[in-house]
Amino acid sequence: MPAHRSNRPLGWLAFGTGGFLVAFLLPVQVFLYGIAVPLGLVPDPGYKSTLELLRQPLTRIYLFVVLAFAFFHAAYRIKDTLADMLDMRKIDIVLAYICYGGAVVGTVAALWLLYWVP
Amino acid sequence: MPQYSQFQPKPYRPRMSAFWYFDRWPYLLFVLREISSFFVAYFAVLVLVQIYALSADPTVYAAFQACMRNPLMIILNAVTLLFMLLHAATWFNLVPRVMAREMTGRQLSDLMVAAPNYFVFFGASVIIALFILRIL
Amino acid sequence: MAETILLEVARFLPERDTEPSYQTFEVPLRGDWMILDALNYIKDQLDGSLGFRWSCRMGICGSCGMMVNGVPKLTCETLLSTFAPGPVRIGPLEHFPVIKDLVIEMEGFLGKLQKVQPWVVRKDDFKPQREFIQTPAQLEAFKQYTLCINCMLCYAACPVFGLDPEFTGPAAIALAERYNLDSRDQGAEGRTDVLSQHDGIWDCTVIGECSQVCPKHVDPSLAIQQYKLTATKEWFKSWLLPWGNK
Repeated sequence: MPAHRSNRPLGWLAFGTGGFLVAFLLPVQVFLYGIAVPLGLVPDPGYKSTLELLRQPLTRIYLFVVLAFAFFHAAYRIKDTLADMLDMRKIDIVLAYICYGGAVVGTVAALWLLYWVP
Repeated sequence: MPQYSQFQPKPYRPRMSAFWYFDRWPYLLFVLREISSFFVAYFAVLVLVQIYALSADPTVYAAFQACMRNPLMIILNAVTLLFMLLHAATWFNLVPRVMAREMTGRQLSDLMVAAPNYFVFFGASVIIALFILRIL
Repeated sequence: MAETILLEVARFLPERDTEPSYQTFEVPLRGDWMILDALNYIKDQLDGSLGFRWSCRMGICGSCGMMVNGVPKLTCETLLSTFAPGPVRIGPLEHFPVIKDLVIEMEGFLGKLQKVQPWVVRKDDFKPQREFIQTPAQLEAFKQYTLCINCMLCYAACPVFGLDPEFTGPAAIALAERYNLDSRDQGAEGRTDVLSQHDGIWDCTVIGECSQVCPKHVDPSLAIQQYKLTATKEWFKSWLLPWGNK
């Protein structure tokens, strides 16, 4: 295998998968938890009922997959955006470490929080 | 290097403006689409906070919900929603074209490739909403 | 002379100027004139020192690409009257070094083009005795990409190329893909080394303007994304099956 080839396929695949998951699944979550429930447009299911939903193993697996891919999707794009908008292509590699480092931290946090749901 | 090139006039090398994305509407739209990623990251962190609040106890979750009722938070979340919808629309119009061409080896019409995504989007949104509102 | 329109044309004389400036010319506004006709009018009637490239004036040679009001266009197929009442701003293609007035330096592009080997590469000693049979489906796979005329409008529309002049760029990648998808070609591996690098396909952030401005509807953006998919598959193959690639 030629060593000089870019290792970006891995990041790109996570970016692409995350792009689909974010596009299909997250907007409704933003709308309900971020706008509709706080404004009282829909009835609030309440603490107990929401915790009940979070206790389901399937919910937790779902949230972990969506959040992990969302973090890696965002990392890929944030890195490119900062490089292009602020003309930081020269420190591309530093940006990559910061952005992907953040994505790893977010993913580990998601795993930890979802594992310890009471 | 041939000797005459010493006297050859130097071409003008343009430098790109730092605000190149304001030059034309398609570039601005592109940058807005890319900025959606900041809001995706923000919302993913917000969900983590919500999971933490739910796991802690009812008072923490109540504090979280009170914070979400803050008008500034609602505005921030509304902006997040707009950026996510921009991401979704641009994604649906662009990415499946690549996959469709890869799978069929032919160029399909853009509408035919994009339309199913919107159906899936609405279907998935309704199902998730039913779960979040504890109807299912 | 009835109606006229103002043309602001970029002027740059390398011996004298440090950067281009715009000079205004008044030309007749004729319904059947393209921008190129107006430029030729200036050169013939008003200022013979104006420098610009053109050849076929029918949208196939790809030499008359310029920025028209900030958008890359083939000036031979852009109607002057659509810009009435004017003024119209004509500049050299963006992101390229300017040699004189509207003439750009294209050595960089030609070098990139050569690097992706845009010709049929055979590994075997193939000496055909008759024509190479290709099914309509095999032709369809790459036909769209053969329409490229190397006019470089896609480069002028590409901010990534503006930010990173080393970027292989839309047309060169689309042409590489044109030969990769050709059933007669066996050179995909050699092109991968050029395309799979950071300066290759991975520099592209899918702005998509290259495909919008292409006068031949080649869709280089699609070619680049498609090649990202191919490169990703190859990358995983080389990890999972290290013995697969010799």
